[in-house]
Amino acid sequence: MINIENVTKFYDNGAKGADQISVKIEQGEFVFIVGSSGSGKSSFIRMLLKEQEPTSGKIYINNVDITTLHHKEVPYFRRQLGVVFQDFKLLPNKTVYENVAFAMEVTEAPSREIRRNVPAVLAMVGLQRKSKSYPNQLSGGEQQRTALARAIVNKPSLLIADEPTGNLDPKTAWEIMHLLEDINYRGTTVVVATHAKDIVDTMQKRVITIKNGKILSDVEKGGYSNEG
Amino acid sequence: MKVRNFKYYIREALKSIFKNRLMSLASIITVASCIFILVFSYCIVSNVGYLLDNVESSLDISVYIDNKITEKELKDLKQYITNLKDVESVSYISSEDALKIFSDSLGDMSSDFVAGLENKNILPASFTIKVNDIANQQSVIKQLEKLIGKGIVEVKYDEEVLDNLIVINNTVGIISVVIILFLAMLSTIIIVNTIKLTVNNRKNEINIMKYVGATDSFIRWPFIIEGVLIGIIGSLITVVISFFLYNKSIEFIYSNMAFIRNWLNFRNVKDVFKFIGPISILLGILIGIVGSITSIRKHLQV
Ligand SMILES: Nc1ncnc2c1ncn2[C@@H]1O[C@H](COP(=O)(O)OP(=O)(O)OP(=O)(O)O)[C@@H](O)[C@H]1O
Ligand SMILES: [Mg+2]
Repeated sequence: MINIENVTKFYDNGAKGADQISVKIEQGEFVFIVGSSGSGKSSFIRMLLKEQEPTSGKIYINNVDITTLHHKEVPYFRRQLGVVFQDFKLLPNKTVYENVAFAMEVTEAPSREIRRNVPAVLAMVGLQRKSKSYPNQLSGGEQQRTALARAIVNKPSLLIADEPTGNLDPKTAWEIMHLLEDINYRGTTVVVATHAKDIVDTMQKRVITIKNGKILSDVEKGGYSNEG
Repeated sequence: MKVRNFKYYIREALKSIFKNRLMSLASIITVASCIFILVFSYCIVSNVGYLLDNVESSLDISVYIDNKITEKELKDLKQYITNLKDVESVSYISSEDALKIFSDSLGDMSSDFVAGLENKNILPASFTIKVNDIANQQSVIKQLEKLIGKGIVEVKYDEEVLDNLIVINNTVGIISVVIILFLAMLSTIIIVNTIKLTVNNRKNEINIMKYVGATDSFIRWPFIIEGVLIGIIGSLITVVISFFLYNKSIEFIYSNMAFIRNWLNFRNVKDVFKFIGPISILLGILIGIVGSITSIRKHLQV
């Protein structure tokens, strides 16, 4: 599914985002990326989305080397992924329904399919009643559930989340994590960068700890590393 | 571009215009002001040109003819003047014609007075000469003055008006170029700044669209259509308003300052807008397209 080979990332200002990272993630896995602030979690995620290029190394997703993708191919690559961010990144001028439908519209999906799939995913995240609301009329948890619905509406094989619970209270954070777990049970590979120690410790998933851009530990059914 | 997408693009463009009402209004006003400046300058420049053409063509040279001249000499003289360089037309006004024109200009009370003159008419016969361009008026006058004593008594023209007109002609040319250049610069600055504001408003939006896998053209089209719509609305408003404004101003001037009509004619509103109307709308569309493309181009390169 994901195969990262010896990836190093230096930013223009000399900051180090990743230092010789090599890691494999199989189809259907649920993986936490943890580490202290500035350790390189977001850098890792941004390279997976091809939002940023590694300085050296290769990244294969579904056997395609994304580091050599042409600008024009990037949108088609991104349609295979679902992404979720700490700040939700919803379009402010669109309703919940329209935000989710947008992800299908860009793929030029038939209207019939859009009208069928959007309500289905909104029901799955528990937002069918809010479909006509605008993002600024929603709580943080509801906004993140909208973002989740948008991320999965195209049935991606890989879902990537960067601190999806960073702006939410513990109870809401758990709701989002359970949704991510549900999505994973249905077969989607899920990669989550997070600071949420309790959740990581409780869920007992694979945990990759990053420190100063290097992989410090990579544990099946692990907990939040205190060294990270 | 697929039809279904096209509908989507138009819907998005309209929604965006209504959602960002303030920004859209600012853009429409910007386009409208630029176009207004253009239309306004054009109205003035084209009217001054028209006015000068009128005055030029009514600015004749009169040549008074020696009354001792024979019929044949008169014919030769007319032929000679007609053949002079830059002379457009020569018309003969006999001594009798001159008296009639004179009596007409006096009106009713003149009849007795003129009747007394009819037997011993002292008004000289003359040629009225039109020159092809006001700039050549002086050289024609010089050539005519050489004929004094050879069948011609006097050459008359309005020296002051002529001098002024030449100066006005040149100044209007220069000033209109300067004004239009200055205004074009001003409009560009306004537009660039409006675009900068729009760009910042839309940076996030464009980034989000890219995260969900929108292609560049999918992102670009609604913005282009939005620009076109704003351009059309802005320029159409200006054209309609200035059409009525122009019409009303002329009506007002004619009805309140009737005397002006004798020496000043404005161009017909339809003639003016037949030309500047379509040009304005095309320019509005162009501004809209260029504006929207510039404002998003930078953000598509990731
Ligand atoms: N766009 C950027 N330009 C320059 N340096 C950057 C950029 N993004 C991140 N960095 C630097 O790269 C390093 C790793 O940052 P990164 O954002 O990946 O950390 P993080 O683990 O996500 O931190 P946090 O938990 O606070 O989100 C830091 O030193 C940071 O300053
Ligand atoms: Mg981060």
